[in-house]
Amino acid sequence: MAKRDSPLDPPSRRVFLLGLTAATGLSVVPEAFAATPDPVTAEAAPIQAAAAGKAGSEVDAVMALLTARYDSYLQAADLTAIRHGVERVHRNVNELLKVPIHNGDAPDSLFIPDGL
Amino acid sequence: MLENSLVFLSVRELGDRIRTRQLSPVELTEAYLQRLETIGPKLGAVITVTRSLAMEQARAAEKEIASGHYRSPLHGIPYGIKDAFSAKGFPTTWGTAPYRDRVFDYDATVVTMLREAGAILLGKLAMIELVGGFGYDDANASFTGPCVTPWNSACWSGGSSSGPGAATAAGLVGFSVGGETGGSILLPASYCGLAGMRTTYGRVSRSGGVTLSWSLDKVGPMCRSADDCGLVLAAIAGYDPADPATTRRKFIYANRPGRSTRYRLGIVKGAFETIDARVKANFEQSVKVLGEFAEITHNVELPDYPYGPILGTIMAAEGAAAFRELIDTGRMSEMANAADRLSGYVGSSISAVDYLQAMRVRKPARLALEKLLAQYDALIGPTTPTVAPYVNQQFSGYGRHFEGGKYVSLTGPGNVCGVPAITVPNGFGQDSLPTAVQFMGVPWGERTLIDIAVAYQSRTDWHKRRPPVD
Repeated sequence: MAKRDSPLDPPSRRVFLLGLTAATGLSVVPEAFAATPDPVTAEAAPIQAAAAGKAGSEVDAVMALLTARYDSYLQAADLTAIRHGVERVHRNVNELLKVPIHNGDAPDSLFIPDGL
Repeated sequence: MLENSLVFLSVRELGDRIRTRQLSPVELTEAYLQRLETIGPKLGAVITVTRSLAMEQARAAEKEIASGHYRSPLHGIPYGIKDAFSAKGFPTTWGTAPYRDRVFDYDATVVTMLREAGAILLGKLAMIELVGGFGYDDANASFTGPCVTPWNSACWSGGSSSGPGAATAAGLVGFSVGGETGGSILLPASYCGLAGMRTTYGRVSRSGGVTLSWSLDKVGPMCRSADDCGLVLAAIAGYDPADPATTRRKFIYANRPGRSTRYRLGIVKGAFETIDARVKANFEQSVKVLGEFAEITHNVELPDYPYGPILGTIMAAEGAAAFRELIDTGRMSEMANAADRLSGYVGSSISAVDYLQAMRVRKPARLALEKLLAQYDALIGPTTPTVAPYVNQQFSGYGRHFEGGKYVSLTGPGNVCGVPAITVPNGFGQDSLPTAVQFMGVPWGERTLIDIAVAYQSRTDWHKRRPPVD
């Protein structure tokens, strides 16, 4: 199998505009937080296709939820942009899931700065 | 009529003249108000001028100082504040149309602390709507329109503390206070040629300020020198029962003896190698200057964590919760920027489990970065990889100077981990726009960062250059 990016390989986050967009405080930041596409090998392609299908169905489910909640505020053209945002969230979460954490690893604590 | 050069003096210089009664707070306030009311709108830097309050406070300061009651180095110094913070009786808009007429009947804690220090509030300064938390994709993202840098009116001031950046650089205020969640102090300070400090999470109370992200929001000074950042921070830092995140640690900014050992600085690998050529050259020149008083370690690698996804997930989820009222009532449609109208819906779809995943990953990332930072007095890199974009330019297409693809930002990781950083100007790049160098340190290490930045500024004069606004 050809070498693939490790879960935390720099290109997944060290992308152009990361500094600018992170610095501007963008939340669901478009390109900056998007993972750089991995090189697709013949061996990996079916796996990625399956993953993409799964991701697509999850995005569809989220879009159905958002449409149910906010349909009266949204135009058809808005849904395309929102879908891109949901896809980015999905990619971000996948990046987070690559970091090894364990059962007892608690979320970072809020509001106790003296414990920093 | 005061000389124009006076309005560009540092807080320390202004304070010395006021304390020794060579300069009248009333005359200084009148001069800044006049500039704020005439130059401010041209820059898009102002939302509300608090003229009546300012003159009242100026007269009170003058009287107190004349009677021998000198409160602090900020006594009699006029300032502006990002319109993210409330000032009793004046509109607090958060930069967005839905709140353009809203008035709170209380002061933000930082406004109260500055008043007690004797500073004079000149006005509420422009900002990106809802502190930039909703994906704006160009500079036109405030109900007051785009804010431009005083160095080049075709270019953006940066955000979300846009007005504080432009107004302070243009000599419309003595200093300003901004806020940062993902870079909202460092970015405009860099694009406007200022010293700007992101404080440690919990160093300065956020009470009375807008919330975008409870776990990421910070408050800090934006000034014409690093030394001024120390003076202002000393006035606004401290515990506040109204903000449970605030620390009881003291921040003291008094003279201390010169350091007998050289500072230890680490250059972050990937932070400058592939960026805009002139920003890179200025950074390399900065390193030479820093080498006069510091040991420099090259190729320091940041701990390998997905800082972007952590920051993006947390900010989006907390932002959607914080502004749920706007999202659930469809009032996001009133936002100025098209992207801002939709991203709240996306954020509201993030599950609790995914948000917690980001918060869980954040902890080892923070501990690893703190461990690395403890080996140095500061990690350094260019504050931004390019100069400011054009005001009508989409950020997603912003690559006009940038050839590389492996740029590593200090700003995202620093915000994820809640550690302090200061940026100071280090030269000029394309279109006569400022460039900057950033110093990032351990939690509660603001004093050391300021000392390093002051030492750098004692060897350079970039912070003394004036933009062409008069």
